[in-house]
Amino acid sequence: MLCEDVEFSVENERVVNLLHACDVGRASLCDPNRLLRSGVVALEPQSSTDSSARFRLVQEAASLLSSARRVLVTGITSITLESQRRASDIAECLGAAIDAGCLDTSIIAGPTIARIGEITASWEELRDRADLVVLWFCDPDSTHPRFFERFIDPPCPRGSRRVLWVGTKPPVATHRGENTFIFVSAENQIPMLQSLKAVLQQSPLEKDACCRVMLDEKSIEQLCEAFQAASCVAFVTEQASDSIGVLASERVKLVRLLSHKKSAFQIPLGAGIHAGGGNAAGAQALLTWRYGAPGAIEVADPFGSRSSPGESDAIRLISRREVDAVLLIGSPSESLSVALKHATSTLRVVHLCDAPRPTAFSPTLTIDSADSLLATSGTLLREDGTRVVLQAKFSSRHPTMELLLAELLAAINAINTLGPRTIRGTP
Amino acid sequence: MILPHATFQESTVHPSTSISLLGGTLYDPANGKNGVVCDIHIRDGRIVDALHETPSRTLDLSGLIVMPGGVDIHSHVAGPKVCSGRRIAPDLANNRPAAVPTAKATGSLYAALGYTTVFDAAVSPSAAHLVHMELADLPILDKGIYLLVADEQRVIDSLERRNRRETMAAISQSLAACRGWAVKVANPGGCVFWKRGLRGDHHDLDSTLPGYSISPRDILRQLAEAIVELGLPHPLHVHTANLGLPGNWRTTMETLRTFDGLRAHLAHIQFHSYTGGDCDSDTFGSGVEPLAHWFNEHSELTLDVGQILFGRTVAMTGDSSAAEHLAHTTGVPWRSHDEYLEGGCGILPIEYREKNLIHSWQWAIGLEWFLSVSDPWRIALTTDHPNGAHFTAYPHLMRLLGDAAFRRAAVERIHPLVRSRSPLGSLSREYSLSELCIITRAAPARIAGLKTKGHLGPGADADVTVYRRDADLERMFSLPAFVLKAGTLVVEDGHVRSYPVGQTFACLPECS
Repeated sequence: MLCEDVEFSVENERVVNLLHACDVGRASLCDPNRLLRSGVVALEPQSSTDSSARFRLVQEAASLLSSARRVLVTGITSITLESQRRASDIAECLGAAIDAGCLDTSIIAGPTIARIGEITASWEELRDRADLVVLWFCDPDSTHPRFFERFIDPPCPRGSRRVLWVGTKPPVATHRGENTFIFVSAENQIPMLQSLKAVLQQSPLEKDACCRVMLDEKSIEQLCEAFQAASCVAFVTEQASDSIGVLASERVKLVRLLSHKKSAFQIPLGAGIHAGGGNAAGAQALLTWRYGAPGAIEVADPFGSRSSPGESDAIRLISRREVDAVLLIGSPSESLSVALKHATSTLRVVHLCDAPRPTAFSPTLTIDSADSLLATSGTLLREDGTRVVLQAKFSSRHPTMELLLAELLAAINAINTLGPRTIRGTP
Repeated sequence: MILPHATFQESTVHPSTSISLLGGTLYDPANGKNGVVCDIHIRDGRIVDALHETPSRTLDLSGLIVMPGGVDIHSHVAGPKVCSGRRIAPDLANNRPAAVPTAKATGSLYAALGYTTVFDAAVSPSAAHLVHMELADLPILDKGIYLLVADEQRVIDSLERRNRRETMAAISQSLAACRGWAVKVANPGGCVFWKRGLRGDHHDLDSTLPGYSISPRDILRQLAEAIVELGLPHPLHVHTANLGLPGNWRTTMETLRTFDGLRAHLAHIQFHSYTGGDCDSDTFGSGVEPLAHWFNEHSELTLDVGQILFGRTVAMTGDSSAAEHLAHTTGVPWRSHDEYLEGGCGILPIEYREKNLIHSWQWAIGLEWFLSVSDPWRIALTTDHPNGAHFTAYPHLMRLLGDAAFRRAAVERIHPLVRSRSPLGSLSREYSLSELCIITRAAPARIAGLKTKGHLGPGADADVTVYRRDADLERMFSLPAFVLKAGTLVVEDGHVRSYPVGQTFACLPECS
């Protein structure tokens, strides 16, 4: 799933010798529906009937998308970078909006990186360098089940590693109990971050201000002492969901202050197993080099497009009915599924489906592709940007997503060349 | 064996047509032609002596100036750091030919200026695959990457063991695996200091790396020797220590001395040529004179300038500590990413202001370098795009070099202290068209080790730029009449007419 070290082999049309998978990954990879759908359990050989049926479906999808006034291309987090390139080719051909549906582009204030920046590192740098790990209002076990096992539990080569949990409740997993838990209420996150900065800058702590927001001075001291004693600090955070982005900025400011004095970086964990696939980072990279921003692209223009976070992100475009057709590629995230569920009665949705079909919403048209996990080769990017090479283990009876997208692009191009031009604009 | 070759499934498709360019005024300094009227013939994407058949297309270039396509040997156009630049300054990426354009816009804008080859000067090996994917979306230009091999853990370990064969093998393997063209070192050993949390401790070349017995000087010398022995087409591409810091000219002088007798290329030398003491802007100034004197005496060295020009841009570097220092000083948004078993990068927006003392000095120091280097074949025109300025500002820079009156007027607008203290005002040299052609085409191609670029002799790639003669050099170089890439017309009067796929240069050294 999200882990680049997952290994397995195939015997008698079954996944065997599965190594390094978490429970979620194990359940997904061994899902009988997935195997059945992938053609691993062979139903029938691919026939000319399959090809002609697919041809008709692709033509129908092309017609549907070409006749729409405004199209959104979304999903794309479960597919390879090679397929994402083809998806953005289609978006350019249609003059469509494109967004991967990631949280960062839905924040009205825009991505944190443009407002304050980001000081980060590969996850292995945390494992090999950080002697202090602060888990700030995040629970990797719930989003990244093997994060602890792979990056925090191994001994730090430079001595012992201290782990501080900061949040509203202690970790659920019992084996995390030996680590220190510091209670901070959710509404006190920003005052706490500001107080920590003040102490680190050797500014006098305003005790009255602390009292006003019920901050525990001992917690502040405890954290500051830990920061000062450490030689390398890893500040692990969840995705910030505050719409104006102050929380995200304050977290970066604290890390930035620390990194001026010592080795320090933030590890911003993304949606993890809830992201709808393991290649959200790939989608963001591709959209950035193609359009200048990681998402919320109003019109896919390779010479530079306007990005409107909080306005042209997939969820808002769908929920506000600002598009009349959606090309959903791959497995949608949970939030995207919910938005589509409430909108499919008024939207035409073409779903190029690379996994067991979702039940949360009903697309207008679905075309199956080869499974993105089991039957696809290509490139993914882990959330920290590390390249992951995906190797196909099965030959699927369905076309690869890259091929399917190429076929769809050709069909759309044929309509645009031969048919009447459609004038597109915001409905 | 060194092979420039096309990568991926894509390659330059040379049209099987022949073209004659008749009567143009040719500037081809590599072949000794400086402003002579002559014809050029093209077959299958390359220059030929003569055509024995009737050309399929003829262009009458009477009265027009013909030069080889431009070659930018130090730019930043692809990869995670460039994407970070787009994200950290999104207003500069949207619909403007500003700091960090999209991949397609980058190729188009370069071509529209008459440039046909570009090198990304700092790519970490772990990012190379992604960079190549991005470069595949960058149309028209031929391109290559310099690998930050010197930050790789295994290379540092081999240098520590002073094992030349091991170092050469590691370099060869990285170049082959990552399809790189050359080796770049950014702040030698700097990533080791950075990752050990050493801050504000800007080292000299002889401080040993924490946990090691080698110094930055050892790294530079050993790498340069290994690259010479490997026979790479481009020598070690050096971004030395203490970039951007007052007084760093001493470090740069030590760097030059380190290479005594060895081939090396000094990158963005402007950023490494400052006098003065830390935090003392009044003593900040130019250290060009002694450096240029040494450089002029040592023909084994080459350099590119990294000129700054006034305006907003984005700084991006593999030198994490330099970026942190600048970000802390200016307070602007800053992105840093440390990579596993390699170095890292730092990215931040920056604005160079005409009235700012330090920025005025930087501007003057860059120009002083251009006007102090006696041999134009050893200097390349760059702005270290986008660090010093956007590449679309090259025509402005060319006018500053080729039009002394224009330059004097510009000097009048900068900070008065710089105006009075910099030797720039007393330098009256003007670059001729031939010299401008050398520093933008012939010299960078030769320095990069590209035999088929930078000239228009038989066998050369038919990358041709045609300008209308104009006393205003900025206008002339901004708007070529025609640009041909491998014999295909790609630009006409500033309009991009086609988007052929360029080739990617890769170097495959043999190391036994």
